[in-house]
Amino acid sequence: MSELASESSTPSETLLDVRNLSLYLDTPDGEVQILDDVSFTVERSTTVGMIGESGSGKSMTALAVLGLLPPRARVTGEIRFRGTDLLAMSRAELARLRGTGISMIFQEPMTALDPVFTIGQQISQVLRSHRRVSRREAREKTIEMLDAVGIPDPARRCGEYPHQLSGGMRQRAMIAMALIGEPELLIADEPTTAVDITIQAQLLDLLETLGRERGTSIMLISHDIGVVAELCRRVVVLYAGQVVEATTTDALLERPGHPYTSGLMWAVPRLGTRRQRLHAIRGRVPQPDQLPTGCRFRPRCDFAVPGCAQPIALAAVGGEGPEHDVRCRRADELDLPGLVHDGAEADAENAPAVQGSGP
Amino acid sequence: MVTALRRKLVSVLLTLLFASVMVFAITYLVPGDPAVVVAGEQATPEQIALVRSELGLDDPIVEQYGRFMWGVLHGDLGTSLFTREPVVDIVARTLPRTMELVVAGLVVAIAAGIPLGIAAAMRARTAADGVIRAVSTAGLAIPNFWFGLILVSIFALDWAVLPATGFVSVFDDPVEGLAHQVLPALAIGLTAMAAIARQTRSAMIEVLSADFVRTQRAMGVPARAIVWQHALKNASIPVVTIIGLDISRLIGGAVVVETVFGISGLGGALVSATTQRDFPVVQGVILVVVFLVVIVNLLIDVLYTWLDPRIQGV
Ligand SMILES: Nc1ncnc2c1ncn2[C@@H]1O[C@H](COP(=O)(O)OP(=O)(O)OP(=O)(O)O)[C@@H](O)[C@H]1O
Ligand code: SF4
Ligand SMILES: [Mg+2]
Repeated sequence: MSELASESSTPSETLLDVRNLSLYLDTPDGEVQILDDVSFTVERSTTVGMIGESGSGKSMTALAVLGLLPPRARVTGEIRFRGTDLLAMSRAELARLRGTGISMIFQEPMTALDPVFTIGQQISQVLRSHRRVSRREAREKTIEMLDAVGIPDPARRCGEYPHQLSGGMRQRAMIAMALIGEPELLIADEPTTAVDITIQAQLLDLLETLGRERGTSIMLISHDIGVVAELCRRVVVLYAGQVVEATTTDALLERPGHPYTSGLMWAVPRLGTRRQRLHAIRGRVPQPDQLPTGCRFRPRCDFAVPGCAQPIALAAVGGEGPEHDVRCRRADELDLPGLVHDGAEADAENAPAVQGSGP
Repeated sequence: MVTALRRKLVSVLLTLLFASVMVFAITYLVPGDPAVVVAGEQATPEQIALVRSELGLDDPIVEQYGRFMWGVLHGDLGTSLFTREPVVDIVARTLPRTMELVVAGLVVAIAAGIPLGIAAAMRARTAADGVIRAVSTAGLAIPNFWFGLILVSIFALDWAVLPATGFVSVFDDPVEGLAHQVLPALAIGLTAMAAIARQTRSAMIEVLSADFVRTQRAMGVPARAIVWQHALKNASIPVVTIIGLDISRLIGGAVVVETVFGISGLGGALVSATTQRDFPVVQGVILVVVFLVVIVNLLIDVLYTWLDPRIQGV
């Protein structure tokens, strides 16, 4: 619990409080641990990003919050929403919370909507699942919602099927579906990964606007730090099922505390730029059943020292300034390159060499 | 939409044309000579030759086919070589019974098969699922007539709760009609029920793991609505395909099961006509059955477009 000491939030403004969440899944080779002691909070009316490479456990964290894990999953820890532990809730209570308290949108706009019902039917159904409204009223609210997510000619679009909409429009329809029950928290799992860059920027704008206007907190999951930086005030970095860094977006961009975060920043093309993969992090995310001892990033880290083989806790770094938790033995001594210096974005061509600049 | 419809109609007409050629060719493909059949075994070659020319069997084959089709298009399927009864009358007498049995079998198959399939899918890989799967595998393996015999021996002979033979239409007498049709309907519907249950199970399992189901759960749509509205409508697309195939099989099954229950339907007419080499009757009955199957398939296609908006028109 000591790693949470720097959380400055008061309970009243904390909407979602995930504490020491561990997740174990049943596989043909036995039970494997997917998440290890994951803790983070989402405040009311704010935006939090969660980043990490594929397989780091982002989606599993989100699904655990919604109680939508695969069958036979085992979870320990606490997931408190408005102070109530979701893990102790009944199925029926959880079903009532989904859509009205917490909603989630997904990446695949092609398959995430039912192909044989109109988008109007699907959005109205969510509303009618939660509120006693007449069909007519549901239809009116649906059209309003479609309008709010920027779908032109919403009355007509209402009667169309998902395949008649473009990818970006389908994603907007899914956002409408997620928000019609007026949830306080929207979890967006890579909502822009499958659309092109222009649409991506529009969707991020839309999420930002809707979140601000409706006071909805947004937890944005992405492997792209640029997408998260665009929208989110705070960032949680996940690696191999553990939180390795958590702080404000500004602090993270300026002075990443974990070699993995720094590597991520230089590994992905930034929003609006065409520069691809400047410095890919070598190696791959280890499988959940083949984790190294101690720091899980050790085999891929250029700064590793023998002490890194010992278990490391998430701990606060830096003195003054915003809270900043890092899970790295050398967090205080390393001065890792960020993307931003004194508010100006670093030029990618002059990127400090992350690799091979070990001690 | 219009071009799709036109294409569909063209393919239906081509199917019927092809079927008419095959049916016409029965006279030449099946052993036995109609002229011999009519003239009798003891007839002299001269008598046979006379009958042959009377029947028009000496005319060029294209002319014979033309005459056959001309008749068909005018509702004339010829007359029985034995009873001289018009084939149309034979069909009109026997077809309604058979169709009533086919529909009864279909009702049994759908009413039992779909709920069984859903129940198995909801409890996938449990004991209940295992039982349902075993039953449907057995249902596919057991021949209809054999199942019919078992039903008769248990319900009609041992327990004597239902009539063993005969036919009463539910339109004439609902109670007697049901009593007479329950066992044949079960016998006819068994295979189709098993096939429908299987297809429903696998389709439901697949649909329930689809991304859109996760979306709906994430937004708090109740499980009841997800299963009975969304999953079922999506799963019904492959299930309808199976039902379409089953209707053809049901007609075949009815033809066989009728004999078990001593019902003189289309099947009885076909069987006796075949053994007697009564070619016009065989041709007429088969043509009618083919026509029905084609119509059913056309209706299934219409049903598809209603179920699946991604399909462009009929
Ligand atoms: N049903 C499952 N059974 C067992 N392991 C699973 C299952 N689903 C996911 N995993 C494993 O859990 C880990 C975390 O997966 P998760 O989907 O949360 O990653 P992610 O960070 O969302 O990645 P991505 O960017 O690819 O979406 C991965 O190692 C994955 O292999
Ligand atoms: S603990 Fe060691 S191996 Fe892990 S990130 Fe820090 S320096 Fe690298
Ligand atoms: Mg994911």
